[in-house]
Amino acid sequence: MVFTGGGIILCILILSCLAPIAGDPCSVNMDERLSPPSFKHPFGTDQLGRDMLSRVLHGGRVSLIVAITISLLSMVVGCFVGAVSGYFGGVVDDVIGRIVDVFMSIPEIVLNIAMVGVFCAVYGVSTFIVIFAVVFTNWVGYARLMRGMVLSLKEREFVLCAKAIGAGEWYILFRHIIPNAAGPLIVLATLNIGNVIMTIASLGFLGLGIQPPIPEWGQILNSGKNYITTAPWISFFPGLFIALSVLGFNILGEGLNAES
Amino acid sequence: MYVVRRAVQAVITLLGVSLISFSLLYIFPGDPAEFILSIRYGYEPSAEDVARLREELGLNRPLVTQYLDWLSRALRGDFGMSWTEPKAVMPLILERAQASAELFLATFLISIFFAFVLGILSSIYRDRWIDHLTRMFSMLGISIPSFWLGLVLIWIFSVNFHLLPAFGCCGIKHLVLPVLTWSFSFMAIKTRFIRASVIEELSKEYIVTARSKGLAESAVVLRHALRNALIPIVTYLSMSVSHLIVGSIMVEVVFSWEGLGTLLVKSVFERDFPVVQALVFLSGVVMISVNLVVDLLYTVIDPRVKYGE
Repeated sequence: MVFTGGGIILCILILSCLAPIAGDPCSVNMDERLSPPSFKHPFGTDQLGRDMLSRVLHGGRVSLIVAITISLLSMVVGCFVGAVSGYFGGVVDDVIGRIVDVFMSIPEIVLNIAMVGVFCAVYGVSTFIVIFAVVFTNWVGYARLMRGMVLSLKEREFVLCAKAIGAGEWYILFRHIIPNAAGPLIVLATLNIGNVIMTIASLGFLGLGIQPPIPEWGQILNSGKNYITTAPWISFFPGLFIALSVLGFNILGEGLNAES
Repeated sequence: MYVVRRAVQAVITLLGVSLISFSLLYIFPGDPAEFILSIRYGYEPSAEDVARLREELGLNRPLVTQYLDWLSRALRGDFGMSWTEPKAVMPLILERAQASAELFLATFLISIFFAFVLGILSSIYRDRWIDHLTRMFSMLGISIPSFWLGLVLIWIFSVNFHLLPAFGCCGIKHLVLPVLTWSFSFMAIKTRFIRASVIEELSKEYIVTARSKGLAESAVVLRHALRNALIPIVTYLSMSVSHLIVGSIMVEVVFSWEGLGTLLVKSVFERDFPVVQALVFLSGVVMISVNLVVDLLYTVIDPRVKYGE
């Protein structure tokens, strides 16, 4: 499973890196608009005659970079909050626990949509707002995992040893406890990247994600919605790539989980 | 005792949710009053009009007072007036709720039924072809975006074969494609979980006892393993209300279903923030209540669970 999942991800990564070879994703050619897949344009062209292969591959770069950024940021925030909550316990743990409850009680996508909507009314649409909105809801999973890990790890002998030689609390937390939680964390992060790719694509599909001219899978898929009768390939290929990359991360995560 | 503690916890969470929903309007830049008037009249409102509306909406009061006022109204189902339509927010939401409920009920019933059937079959025939097939199918279900699947189904059944309507609402024919799309992903998550829970129960010692008594395999699985697996399954189902809400938004948008999901997206685009606020708050209320009810229901599902002892 690790190899299948990793293989799918690797293929998509390589294709995304090769994106520039497929040409400019934004060059408009009205003579070739809505042309079906052919040798010259393997994925066809869209309503402005832009090459879909190039758009989908460039979209892959955007989706992967944004998704990995969001996952890493959420991991940093979530791990810090969760570790502090589990390690220090008491009032800190209670307060953080209640905050986590609140975030668990609002469906992520609802809050994402609302936040992107409100922020965009203020600052105009930007990729940073999308990243911020998703990180804002996404850290919770990491915090929960980290808290649980810390609770069990802090009772172990090596922590006691570290205390015995006079190590400070934060030193123990960052040098001894957090590194030991790396295994489950990697599994969660792998599955999480898949989820985030899906979230970004969903927001893009609703018109609330990364905006044109930056090509993004969900947004391209949405732009093809109106041409579903005449040019189904516009929506088909970005969707296929979303499905494949999410599948890749899910299989890899599952495989890593089974092995650990 | 447990009941009281659990209820207090739910109330605190509800307050947190209300705080987030309320502050959504306060990140909004500029003056809501000015914004409402410019939508209502279509031109720049005069300073007196803005001042009058500010007074009317109570925007001049301290933030805490405004929050408490908003909360006490919200708890009674009063979210004020919509900014873009001459209507109160709550009737606007209730109007849409029925369409969403139709879609939701159909999907929920169908996918839960098939999830149980496939999950149980797959745990009984573990590592046989039916298990492999079910696992592959559920892996696809969680990975394929529902909005894409929806468009593919529209392309196949509406565009190519003219069998089913792609858009619009009401009537069995209109339900088929959205329900199919939505069930596929919803079912996938449930099937995986049911399979895992039943398999875990099947590895326990009482199952060996039940088998050694000579019970039929069907009785072992259905009466013993499944019954005990129900607790994690029901917890999981209650937690997955959020999956349902997510699905409803995407599926409703793809099929232009006039429900709550499309209302949320439409309100965000029209900057009708009281509606957005209300929907965020209400989705929180729904999730908190479902989780609370399920927690309290455990005593019914499993007589071993007795709280406060």
